[in-house]
Parts: sequence; C-alpha cells; structure tokens
Amino acid sequence: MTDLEKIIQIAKGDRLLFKSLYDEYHNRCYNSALSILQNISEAEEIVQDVFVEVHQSAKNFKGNASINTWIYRITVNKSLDQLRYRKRKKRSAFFVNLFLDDNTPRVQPPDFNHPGVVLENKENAQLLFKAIDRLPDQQKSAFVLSQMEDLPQKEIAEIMQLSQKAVESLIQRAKVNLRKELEKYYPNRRK
Amino acid sequence: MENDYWKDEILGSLKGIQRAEPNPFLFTRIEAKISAEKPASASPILRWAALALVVLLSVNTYALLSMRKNTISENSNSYNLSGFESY
Repeated sequence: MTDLEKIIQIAKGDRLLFKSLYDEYHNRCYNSALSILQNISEAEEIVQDVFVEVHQSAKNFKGNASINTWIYRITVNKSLDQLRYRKRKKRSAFFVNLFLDDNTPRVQPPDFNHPGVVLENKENAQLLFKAIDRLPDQQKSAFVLSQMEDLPQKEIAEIMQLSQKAVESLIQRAKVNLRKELEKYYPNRRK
Repeated sequence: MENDYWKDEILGSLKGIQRAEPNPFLFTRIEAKISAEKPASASPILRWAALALVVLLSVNTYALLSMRKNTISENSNSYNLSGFESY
C-alpha cells in the first residue's frame, strides 16, 4: 500500500490503519518535539496535536511528500509554534511582574534531562541541551533533525521547505553557535 | 587545543542516545480529541424538526401581526374616527 493509499483509507475512517500509522511514527514525532521543546508534557501535547491534525487533514494529503516528511513537518511547525507561545508568555509575565511585584520567588525551570541519554553522558548532554535551547529556532530544528533524528540533509530540506544548501548552512551555523555558547559555560565547568 | 577537546566531547554526548517513549495512553487521548473535535452533524429528523419549528413560528408571527392590524382598524371604525369632524 502506498503512502497516498494509506492516507486515503485513514481519511475514510480506517481506525486500524490510523493506529498502525501512529505506532510507526509517534516515536519520531515525540523525540523530535522533545529535543526541540525540552519538556516532556509539552512534547506529549505536540504528539497529540500532530496526530489529530494528520487525521483531520488526511483528506487534503496530495502525496507530494512522504508520510514521514509530512509528519516531521507538522511536528517541527507545531513545536516552533509552542516555543513562540512560550516566549510570548514569558514576555507578558515579565511585564506583569514589573507592575505587580509581589516578592514571590521566581522559579527557574530545571535543566533538561533527556530520558534516553546514557548515564556517563548525562552531565554533558544537559549542558548541550542548555546550549541547543539558546539557538535560533531554524538552527535548532535543523540541528535536532540532523544530529538527533539522523535525517539526511535532503529530507531536512523537504521538511523545513528550504533548499539543501540553506539546511547545510543552518547546521553549520548551529554548530558554530553551540561551540560559542559552550565556551560561556567553560569557566564554571573547568574551575 | 584542550578547549576544543571538551567541546567536541559535549557535542558528541548525544551519540548513542536512546529514543524516549511517550505515555502509553497517548493514542487513547488522541482518539478522544478526534471524536471531541468532530463537527456534530444533526440527524435528518432533527433538521426537519428545526425547519418545521421555524415555519410554525413564522406563521404564528404573521397571524398575530395581521390579527392586531384587524383589531386596530375595527376599533377605529367603531369609534367612527374617520368621520370625526372638529368644530
């Protein structure tokens, strides 16, 4: 069965096929959202939203891209939307706090611990995730898809709807920026 | 040189990362969301009942308005207002 045939069947209400699609792709969707958002409950929310959208827009699927690319694209877009929403919320909270200072202690979110990192790399991975979190959105998505999802640049270009050259440059810049960011942590780490 | 080494070490710390698994009940939640977001399509009987109600209300309103008009014109006739002459 081709990708298009599968999606047509899902659009017609084939529940079993939808479940098998979920079984096949939910893990990739969850892990990429988790790496971008660095928050387990938000990543689970994204998985839900992605598959609800897949179900609802199945009838519009033209088959121009593979299901894999399509699902990754929805995941990345929704994750970036969530990041923007988080930034907006943070900004408005900042302004509210300026006028309503109630002396309540500000709670900083703890550093992200990816559940799949091996124990001996936990400390380094925590530092790397902290640096990844400071990357611009596009660089972050390209880096996560390339280094953590292990996708080829051609597919990343299709997912992000950019040229392959642009993706290559995004990944390159992400690596340079990560090195710069890690350098800021260096004094604390080595002393 | 040493600096580059520790950076490479950190950048390589995600090598061999295991895939994380989400909540096992996520699919059930997705199904619930899908059925909650389905547009509630009214059954044909309900649609006909709604149409009948609208027609009934329109007829009633029309009847009420024309009855009121008749009553007003009858009243004005009985008081012979049209033939009233002012002195």
